[in-house]
Amino acid sequence: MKILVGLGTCGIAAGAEKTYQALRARQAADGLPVTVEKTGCIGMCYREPLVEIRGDDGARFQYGNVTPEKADRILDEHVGKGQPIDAWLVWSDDGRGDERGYFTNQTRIVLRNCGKINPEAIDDYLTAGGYQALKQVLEENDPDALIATIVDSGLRGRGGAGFPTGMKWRFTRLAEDAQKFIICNADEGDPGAFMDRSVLESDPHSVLEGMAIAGFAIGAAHGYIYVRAEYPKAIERLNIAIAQAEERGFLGDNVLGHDFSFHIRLKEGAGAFVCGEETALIASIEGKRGMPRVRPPFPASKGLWEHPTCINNVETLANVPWIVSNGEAAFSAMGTANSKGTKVFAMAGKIKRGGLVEVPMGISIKEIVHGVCGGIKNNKKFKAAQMGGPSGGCIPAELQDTVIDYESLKKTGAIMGSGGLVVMDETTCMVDVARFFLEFTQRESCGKCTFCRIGTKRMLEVLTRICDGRGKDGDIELLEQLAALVKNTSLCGLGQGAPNPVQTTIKYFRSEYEAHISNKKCPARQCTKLLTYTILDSCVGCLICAKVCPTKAISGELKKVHVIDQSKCTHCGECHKACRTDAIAVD
Amino acid sequence: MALVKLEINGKRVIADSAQTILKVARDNGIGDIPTLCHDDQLEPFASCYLCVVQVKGARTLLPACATRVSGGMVVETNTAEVRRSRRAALELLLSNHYADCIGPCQLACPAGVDIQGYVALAALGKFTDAIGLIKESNPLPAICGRVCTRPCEVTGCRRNLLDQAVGIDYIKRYVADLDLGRAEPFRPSVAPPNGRRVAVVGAGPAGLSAAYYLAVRGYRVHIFEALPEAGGMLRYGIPEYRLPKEVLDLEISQILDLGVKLSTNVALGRDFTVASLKQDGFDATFLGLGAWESSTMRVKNENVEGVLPGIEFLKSFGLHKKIDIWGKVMVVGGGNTAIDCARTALRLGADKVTLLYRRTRNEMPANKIEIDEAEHEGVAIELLVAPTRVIAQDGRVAALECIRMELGEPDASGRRSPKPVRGSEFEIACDFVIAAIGQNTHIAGLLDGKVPNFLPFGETLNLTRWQTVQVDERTFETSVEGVFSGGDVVTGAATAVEAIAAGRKAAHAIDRYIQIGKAEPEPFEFCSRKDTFAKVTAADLPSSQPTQLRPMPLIPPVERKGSFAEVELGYTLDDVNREATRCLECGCSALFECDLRRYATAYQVELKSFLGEAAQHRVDRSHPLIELDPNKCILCGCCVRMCSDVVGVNAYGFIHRGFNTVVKPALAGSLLDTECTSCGLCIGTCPTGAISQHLALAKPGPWATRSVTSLCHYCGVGCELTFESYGDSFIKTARSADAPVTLGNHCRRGLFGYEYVQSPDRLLHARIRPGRELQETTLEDAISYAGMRLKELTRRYAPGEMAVFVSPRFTNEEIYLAQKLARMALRTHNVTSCTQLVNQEFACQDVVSTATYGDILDAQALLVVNSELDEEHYVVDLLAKRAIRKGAKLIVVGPNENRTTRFSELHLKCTPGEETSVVLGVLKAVTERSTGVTVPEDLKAMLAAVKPKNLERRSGVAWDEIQQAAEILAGSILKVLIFNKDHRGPRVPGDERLFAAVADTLGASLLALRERSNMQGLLDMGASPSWLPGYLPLDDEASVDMLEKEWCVVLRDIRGCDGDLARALADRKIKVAVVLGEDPIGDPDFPEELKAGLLATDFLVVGDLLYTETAKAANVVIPLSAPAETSGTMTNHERRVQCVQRATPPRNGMETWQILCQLASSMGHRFKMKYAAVVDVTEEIRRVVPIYRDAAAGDGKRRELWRLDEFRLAPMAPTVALGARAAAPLPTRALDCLDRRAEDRFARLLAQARTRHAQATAAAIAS
Repeated sequence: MKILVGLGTCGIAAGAEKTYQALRARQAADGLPVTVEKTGCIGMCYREPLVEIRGDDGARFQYGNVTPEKADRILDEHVGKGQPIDAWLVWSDDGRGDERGYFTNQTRIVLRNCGKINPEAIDDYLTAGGYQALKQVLEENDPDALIATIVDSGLRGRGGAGFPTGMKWRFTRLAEDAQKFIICNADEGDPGAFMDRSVLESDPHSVLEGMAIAGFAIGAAHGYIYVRAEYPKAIERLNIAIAQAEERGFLGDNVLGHDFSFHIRLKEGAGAFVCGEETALIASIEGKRGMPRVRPPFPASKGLWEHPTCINNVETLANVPWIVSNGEAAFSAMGTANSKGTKVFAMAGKIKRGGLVEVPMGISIKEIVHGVCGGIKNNKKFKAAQMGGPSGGCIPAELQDTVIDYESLKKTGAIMGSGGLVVMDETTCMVDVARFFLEFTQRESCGKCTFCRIGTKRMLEVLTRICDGRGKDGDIELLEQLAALVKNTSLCGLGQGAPNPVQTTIKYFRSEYEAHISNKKCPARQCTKLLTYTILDSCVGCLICAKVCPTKAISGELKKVHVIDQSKCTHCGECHKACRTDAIAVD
Repeated sequence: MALVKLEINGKRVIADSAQTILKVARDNGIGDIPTLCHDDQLEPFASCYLCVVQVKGARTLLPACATRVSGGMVVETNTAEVRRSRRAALELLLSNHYADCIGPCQLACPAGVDIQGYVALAALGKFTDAIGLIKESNPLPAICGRVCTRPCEVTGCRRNLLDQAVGIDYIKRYVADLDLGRAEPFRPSVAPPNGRRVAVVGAGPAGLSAAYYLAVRGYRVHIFEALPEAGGMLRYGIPEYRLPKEVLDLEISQILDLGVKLSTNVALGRDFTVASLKQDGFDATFLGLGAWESSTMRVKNENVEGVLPGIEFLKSFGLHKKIDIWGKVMVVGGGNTAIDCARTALRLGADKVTLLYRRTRNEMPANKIEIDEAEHEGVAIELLVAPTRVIAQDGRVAALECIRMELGEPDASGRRSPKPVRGSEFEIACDFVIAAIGQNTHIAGLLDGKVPNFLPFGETLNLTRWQTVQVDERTFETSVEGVFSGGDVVTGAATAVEAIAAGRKAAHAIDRYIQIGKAEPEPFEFCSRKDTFAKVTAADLPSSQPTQLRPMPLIPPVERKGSFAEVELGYTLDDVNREATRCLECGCSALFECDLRRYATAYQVELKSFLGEAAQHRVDRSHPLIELDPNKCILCGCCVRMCSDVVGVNAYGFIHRGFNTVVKPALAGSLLDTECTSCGLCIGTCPTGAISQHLALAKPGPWATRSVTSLCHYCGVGCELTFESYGDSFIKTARSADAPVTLGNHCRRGLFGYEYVQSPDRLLHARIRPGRELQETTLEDAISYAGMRLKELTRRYAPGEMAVFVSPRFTNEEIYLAQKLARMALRTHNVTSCTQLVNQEFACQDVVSTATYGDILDAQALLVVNSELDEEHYVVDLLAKRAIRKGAKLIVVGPNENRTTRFSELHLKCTPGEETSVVLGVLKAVTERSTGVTVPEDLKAMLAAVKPKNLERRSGVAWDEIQQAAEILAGSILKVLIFNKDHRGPRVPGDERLFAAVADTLGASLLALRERSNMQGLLDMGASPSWLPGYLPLDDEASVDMLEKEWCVVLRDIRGCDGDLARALADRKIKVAVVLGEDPIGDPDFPEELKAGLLATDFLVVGDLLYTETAKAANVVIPLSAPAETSGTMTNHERRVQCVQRATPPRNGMETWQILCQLASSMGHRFKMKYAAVVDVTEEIRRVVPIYRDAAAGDGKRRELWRLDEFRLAPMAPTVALGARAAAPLPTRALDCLDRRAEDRFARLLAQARTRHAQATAAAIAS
């Protein structure tokens, strides 16, 4: 019997490390006939720490929210007595648990091993069929056929832009140069997105194998993984994986005895969002300031140190071994006309099941939100989904039948993006959402292009003033004007995409903007400066609100209805939070 | 590369597909695409997004600077969308641009006079230029200097935040008075008459100003004045003690001198009408009628005797009418007119004058100094008092009833309006009441129909509700076709300077109206203002010691009574200098060069569009030569890229992200903390004033300078530079945009090494030594004295006893004339440069360059030996780096690591002096690996002697490395061997010939670098005892024959010059010497015996730019012209003959070539060295010097190489003895006072700055 503890960053953050230690200690102390192992992110981040009991017959039982105390009992009851604790089960092979439905609508290709294998044990990966694809392509020794397979599979870049991966490989292969590079872009920077991190933490070898295959296809002997320094666990596991793969001959000189050498180096990014842009990423690896440059020349012809370079995203590369092993037809059987395979989404926001899901292309947003993820928290109303991070857009609930497909999403004004999907309910202010994302892009702009550097700043100032109740007539038009300019005249995707959240929220939620500007009201009651707090007659006169008010705006006598002096009120909301009788109205 | 066809703005062009849209459009002269982040030297960057264009089929606008052309492309560069986007880009950039274009003083001046500009000129003593600059916008500065209300000082000057405003107006008065006092005062350049006529009605400040600017534009202007004399309110409203009539008359006469006709005692409506003027054929009319009606007090008994309207009172006095004033006089009002009335009344004999004003002193519109002086003279001032009734007795004023007032709430204009205090009435007994409370126009009186046919048929003249003429506020057009108006008649009583401004602006509009049929205002010019973003406080100002305004000298009050003598005596020169230095130079030093401003003007930028947060940075003045103002930075990154990509230094970097991104020296420190080489290329590439040159001038302007492209005269590279001047003064050098040879590159000497041109220690006066001491004399006298003596001595001494030494920094023409003077007039072949007297064992004159800079740029391999390229020939180093970026491989042979070796593929680091053997070793290794190399016989034995083990031991270079070098060289087709002929490290005699032979064998071309700008030209021009111009042998019959015919002299009889001039000098055989531009005595390294030889001469003539040690020993000292002050050609070390162009007139009075000609003339050769212009000398050189036949021309354009096939020095075989001991040549850099001066100055300034910076850093850390 095997006990697996989800030790991705999500699990660790939820306290899985303690659970893991407790299990190890107990096992060692009692000499229990089980092995306690690490695994990566299982996907149900909302139920971490997760512990899986895998029977010798392969039967799987997953427990959620496992504290060390609970772990103790699980060992007693389940391991000791063979009696699963139904109340704590989230999911099991035999159909128990309250989250059974979570996996039913998912198709796991990229996440095929996540949460199943120990990411620090190469044997686990090999047992799961790892490095077979690499072996296969080396034996077949036909890079052109390999590229054709990837082209035919319809795999497109999962970093967001959706450029056909096979084509990118082909361009790089065709570029004439003795030295070529493959770069794995693991600089995942969108707020709320953690797909790449989970894959790297849970199944690093699949990425290494994908890179080696790509390297073989394009004729590169060197690969770089550009990974965020903020992902220490991923870096640690990648380093372990690289060392193991080198030791076993999957990486290094003469891979598996073939005339193909492939070396991988890690390069830690220092936390600049723009370094996810490929030319900025290249500059950063070269030791320069991460600033995008003009394309063409594209990296496929002149990339790292001026050599042809192919840059693929983590998720893209993790798909590659699967496609090689299972054939392009199996991959292209999934999805829509132009978007094949699956897509991983990091679900965040006002959603019941927040975490990592992988769904086939062509599924609708509604199915993801309501089907896979169980709908909106606290039974509020689904208002919008923000897709594609700061360069993406908001898709309103009316368009929730839109299917996951590069082109369909683009039509709404949003983009597929790298997989961040933030769900919003009626309590989300869309102006504030636009402001939040723009603040992020503004802060992360490399500062090179005039419009991105100053244009977004001016847009942010307008949004801030709207949220603060200082909006003026014409501000929406000014935002639209600036948005069009910034989009039209920025060098890289950061600038070109920065206005998207603003444009889509204006497009779908214009009335909210108008309410802020004309009525000085925030319909979602989020913009504090636009809120008015008034004390209702139901006030019992307990003086608590007066006590918590930092500006002494509330006056009143015991057992009499209190009054808020609006001129002193700073709209902090402390009184509202403190009131025990709900006698403070917010409007 | 492929040629493609495309269309730009409907025009079809064919272009190389490797080029960008911007380049193709510019090359074809289409579209005028603006850009701020592009520099031809740099790779496309695409950040400013100003260059966007529309390309058919493209989703977005595309940056033209970075988009390559392709076949079938259809480009539009100027659509409405493109213009909108560009304008928005500029507006966004300028919304974060906390900077002033021009100073707030100039902005405050109604006439917009370039105050900072003229104050700076005054500080430099350039008073003629200053008056010229002032008169570009104000034709009456002497008047304004006395009567102006000085908004520039009162509200403009930032110095008010520190202590007191700068005495701007007093400086102006000084400049203007000085000019009026000159025999030939300033006269503007006047356009040729255009035959059109303009009538100006009224000779007040508005009319005079309009007349001036119309006359300057070539119009025939006729002024009609109703009063007996011109001047209007200036004459009849301002008393003599404030504005002497003499000044007024002088300044008016200057305007009339431009051809303006004046008729006086002719009144509009009485003697002529607007309609009659039109009938008389005037193309336009300007009405400057003024406001002459005094406002009434609107109190009872105002018409009794003794109550006088203020302006009438002054006017009567002005008209010399007899005025009886006695007893007690009450003056009502608080403006300048009231003060004038009070002070005039006092002077006319009033016992006591009291001024009544209804507000407080702070609200008084009169100038502060006027109020103060009135009080000093005894005028009593009663504040918060208003008249309510005139108390009359016997039909005459007896007293004035007044009421106390108090200040109420501020009104719409911000002034607190006075309110009467009820019941506070009181009486003051008096004999006269003068009401000076305002003036009105009388134009309405002309329009009421009493004057028949006043206006042309069907026209009406619209008035405002204040009965003033209504005009378009920008064009000054009235409602009547062709009639313009300005001054008080439009504004109501206002200031002189406002009227002057109106006159000038109206003149512009009238000119446009007549020329194109449409009145247009003066062109819009964009102005960034700090005040738009934040209120400027004292903390924002550059640090300056508080100093009070220099007081205006005045005549004492006791002397003023009864006298109308001018009270203000005017500044002295010392006062002016003091005041000028107080100017804080608020306006941008790049005002006239800033691309951002230029485009903002062209695109009519509206600053308000996107205002928001603007960053505020401290100006970094830590570097002594380069000033950084990050507030003006637009983040184009040109400096960052120039420094990293071109120079290879990385002194600048982008710091922070997003809106907070800023470009600063690396790690946000000072440039002094970086590897900055102070080349200043960042200044030239900066499109704004963010990086500017710290000029070595007391006040650096800025001014709209005139530029000429000329050459740097420091080293042999031959960098094109722009020489900028204002008036007759050289201001600075700058990076040249028209620089095909060195691509606009320069080193720090090029940019910062020309301060001596304007320096006070320039040698400007000639000196002669008639007895023991040198005495100053005129240039002409010194030349004739020298000529006379030289002529006499020529008879006494043999040719071998005469010598001429000439600087290798002179132009070809100057050197040619110097040797011609030597051979023709002094009858000697002893002509050379002092540099040629030393290090003769290393001189291989037969070795000249075969390579050009183009060969470097195209090279696959570069071999550098005997050179500290990065220091000695900075720009060649930059060109080499450019080649490296394009793929060339650099091999350096030399002992030292430097910025060049850092970029090398291979640095063969040898022991000093072993360079020659390493190069030979490399050649051996090449021959061993490649059979295609044919080794000439001369080298075979030498190569055979090279033993790898020995070589390794002696040179310290591993044979392996030598083989690597050989591999690179053998694998490259295009290669250049670069060495410095004036290398200062240990050398082996004859090494140059070896390098030449090695290069020849390797198939490489040769670039032989020179330390001094025209060393090549000096040899070419025949400044050598061993050959004639063009290397023609002295004993070659045909050559001598040709020269004799050309020069009309006999040369074959010059004998006794054995060619070894150094020996002759050391042996004290030289009795007469002429030293031009060299300072052997001042050079510590120049051999003592040669110095002694010079000092032992009987007669020494020295010409130079500075008063050098050599000059001090001379019998005649002649000041020479600087390179910026002369024209001609110079030959760089590529053998390229380039043009030198004169930027300013010679400060010494005469160009050097003219001095040489005159010297010849005074020696009796009046016609043999007579040239109308320097190009005639160039032409003669082309005739005489065969190698220059095609190269030199005076058109300022040619930059060709001289003909190698006509080179007459036969190449000599390499004779380097392997194992010969290397010896260091004498370092005679100090032979040239300029080189030494520049280097000393840089070292001193940088050392001082480093100390200051270290102290500041320590202080910052401590606090």
